[in-house]
Amino acid sequence: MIEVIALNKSFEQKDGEALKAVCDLSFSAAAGEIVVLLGVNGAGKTTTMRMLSTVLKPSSGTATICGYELLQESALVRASLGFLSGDTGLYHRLTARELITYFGRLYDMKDSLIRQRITRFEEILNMGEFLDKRVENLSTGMKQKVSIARSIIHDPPVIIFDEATAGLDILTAKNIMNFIHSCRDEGKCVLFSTHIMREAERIADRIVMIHEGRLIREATWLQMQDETGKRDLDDIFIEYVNSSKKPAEESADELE
Amino acid sequence: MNWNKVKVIYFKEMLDLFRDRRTIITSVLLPIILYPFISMFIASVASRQETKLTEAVKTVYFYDNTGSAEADLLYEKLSQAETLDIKHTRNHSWNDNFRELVESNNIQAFISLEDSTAGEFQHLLARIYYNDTDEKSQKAYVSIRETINKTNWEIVSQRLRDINLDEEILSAVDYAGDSVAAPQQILGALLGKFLAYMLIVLTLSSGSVVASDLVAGEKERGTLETILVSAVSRLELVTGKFLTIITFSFITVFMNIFSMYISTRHILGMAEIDMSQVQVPFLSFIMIFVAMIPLATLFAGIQLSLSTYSRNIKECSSYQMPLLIIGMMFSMISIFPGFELNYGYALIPIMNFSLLLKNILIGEYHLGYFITVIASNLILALVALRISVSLFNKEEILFRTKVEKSFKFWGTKRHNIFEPGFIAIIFGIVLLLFYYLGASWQTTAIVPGLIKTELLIVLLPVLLIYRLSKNSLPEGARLKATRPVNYLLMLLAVIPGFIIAAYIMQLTNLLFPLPASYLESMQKIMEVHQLPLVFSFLVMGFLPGICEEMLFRGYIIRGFERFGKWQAIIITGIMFGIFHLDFFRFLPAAAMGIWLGYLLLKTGSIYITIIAHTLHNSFTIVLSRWGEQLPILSGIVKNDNIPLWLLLVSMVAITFIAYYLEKFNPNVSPEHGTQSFSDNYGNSS
Repeated sequence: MIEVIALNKSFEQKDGEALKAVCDLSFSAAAGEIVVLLGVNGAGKTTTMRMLSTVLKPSSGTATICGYELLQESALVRASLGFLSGDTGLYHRLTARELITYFGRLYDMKDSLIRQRITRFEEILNMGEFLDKRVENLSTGMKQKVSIARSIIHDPPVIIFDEATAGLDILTAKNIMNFIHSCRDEGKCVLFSTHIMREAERIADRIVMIHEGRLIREATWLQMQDETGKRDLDDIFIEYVNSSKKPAEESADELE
Repeated sequence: MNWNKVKVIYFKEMLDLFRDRRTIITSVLLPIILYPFISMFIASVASRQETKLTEAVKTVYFYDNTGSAEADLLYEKLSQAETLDIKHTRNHSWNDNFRELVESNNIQAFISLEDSTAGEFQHLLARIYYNDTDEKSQKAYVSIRETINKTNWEIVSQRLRDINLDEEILSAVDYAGDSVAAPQQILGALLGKFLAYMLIVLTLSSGSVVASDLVAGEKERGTLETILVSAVSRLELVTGKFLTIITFSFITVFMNIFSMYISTRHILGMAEIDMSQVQVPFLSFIMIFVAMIPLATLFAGIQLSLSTYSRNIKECSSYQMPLLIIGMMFSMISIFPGFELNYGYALIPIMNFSLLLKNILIGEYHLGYFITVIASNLILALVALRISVSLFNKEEILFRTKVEKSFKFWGTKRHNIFEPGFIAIIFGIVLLLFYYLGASWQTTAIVPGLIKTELLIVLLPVLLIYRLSKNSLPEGARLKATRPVNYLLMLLAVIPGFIIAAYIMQLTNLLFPLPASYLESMQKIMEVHQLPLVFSFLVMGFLPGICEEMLFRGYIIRGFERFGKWQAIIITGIMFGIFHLDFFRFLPAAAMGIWLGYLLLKTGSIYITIIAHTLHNSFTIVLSRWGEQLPILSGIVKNDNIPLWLLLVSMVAITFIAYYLEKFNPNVSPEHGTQSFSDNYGNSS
């Protein structure tokens, strides 16, 4: 479903030098699978996610989503994925129903179909009481539900969550986690990025670890634990970061 | 592009806007409430004040030491005036402190009668001292004048009757003025003066609120990324937002104009002026509306670009400010007398709309101008729209969230004085000083003013910048000699160059005819030529030659050489044109600046351009002194008419000179020279 092939992204900085945010990144994610993109802040997770959602253009390399190529078929790529990030903004002056309908229409959906979908969200996300309230009057948890509904109104086969639980309280984060599991159960492909190790452990079928824009390991937790011989997740991560550095640049800069 | 999606975006944005209480209050409710309220207040207060002033009794002191019968009659007549309270005084001391009394508004006027008899008949002169800043005193003055005229007529009639003549003898020719302007034209001329200004300012200010909310606001609220990942293309998104801004501008403009119209009618009704005759024809409304569409589109395009570039609403509003100021200044052109729409002005945005509106309102419909204005604004609008779409496609701008470093030059770290940004700021400061200080110096006394301007505003900053930044002036400003042949070539180019500049001036004049007031002010500058010859060459020729060259060719051009030789030459040339702060001289000056920039980079010596500049200016002096005696050039001086063949000869001459310059200076590659300068020099500072 998601096939990332040698993706690169560099940004030009003020002093004219290029900052390599993502470097030769390749991985894949299949239908009915939750893949977690794990890395510290600034590892290149958001940049990768933004490239996959066609907001940013890769400097080189490409990816396919549901078989559609990022650059050539960007409209089809966008139509086949749902994107949800932690700091997703909503239009405050619209009601929840208006907002969801707006996005549905942008996906060229018929109004009758949109109504049908909203009725379904009412049940599974328990949105009935606030559907016709303006977003500005909703609580954080309610807003998060509106965001979820907005991102999957068109029933996409691939869903991307970029730090979707960052800054949320336990109960709201739980909503998202439940939702992610239900997505997988419906056979969707889920790509989830986080810097929180425990979160990754809880939901991941497979983990893609990246550091400074590069892939350092792609495996399940169990494989990683076997490989490193460590149990603590943080230790495992540090172990991989260090071992990835050694061959390249002889302990030039240690991880703090 | 899928118009269905554009429609979805458009309706959502409109809904979103109209749910914003601030927007509704400022653009819809405020005009409905504000204008009627203001107009009613002004109308009632003004009319009440007016009656009060006319009816109020004004105290006037009357001083007469002639003791004549005529004076007594005048006193009697003045006393009969209902609103005047005349106090007769023979006290001399009054004559000393009357001024103070009138000034302090204790009395409204003071009349001093003098005997100014020159011949057989008694003649009196009434000096009326009044305060022109006080309305009550003004009214007293009017009443006194009327009474004196009446008394004068009475006395003269009596004298005529005494010698058996009829007073009719005094009237031989009379006149009765009657303006042929139709009521619509009178109203149109009046409306035309300020309506364009109102429309432009309203469109800009209402558009800016919406535009900053639509993109910068979405960035601020984090909704932009959400919408970008949905199945909508950026072109559709920009178009939807674009239409929203235009619609909203029109709503605001309509609300304001409608409310203003009703209020004005109300005022006029109170002043008992019948407006039933002066309806603006429907066709005019349609034409104004049609002409506004491309202009509003242009504004929306610019504002959308600014909004896309900005990181947040606050940053966006600070970018909108200059646009509003430019809009105000350009739209005011219709207020000034002497500016008429022609094909030249029809190409300049805002100005063209302002002048076109004036024409439409006085009932002058010129299809050619109308189409030119619409077409030129439309083309610019499409360019602006194109820019905002391309900005929307630039990810470094769309996700520009890092805070930019604040500007500090005199900080601990030494900066490169050849940074284009820094140079732009220096240029801005010089322009401001030039405008505020230089102009006032020159109006006080033109020659010392010119000298002070050139030395303190133009030359001093360059010397200071080089000195304080510890950069070498001779190297930076290219104070070095070049091969003799270059001097010769430069000398040969002076007259052809002058003719080409004069021709460009003539073309500008054709497109944008100079207003009479402008010619008068230029005449004043020419008075410098009445000075001793050597002195005027020094002040008008050599001084600007050295000072302006040091600024433009000795400093400014350095900053732009990093973009390439021709880029530097053209940018500096344009700045040189702007520097003259004169719309009509912009093009000739810019052309001159480009030639000087070319000379500099070709020869690598500022001495060349200093001499060229000095000679060019001196040639103006020569022409204004002896031009009429010169064989071919007399035409330029007399009727400002340069024959085409002379222009062609000059252009050929310049081409040859440029050819030889290229030929004799193959090794002095300016780009090469610059590169080494910037590398070893600019960066080391």
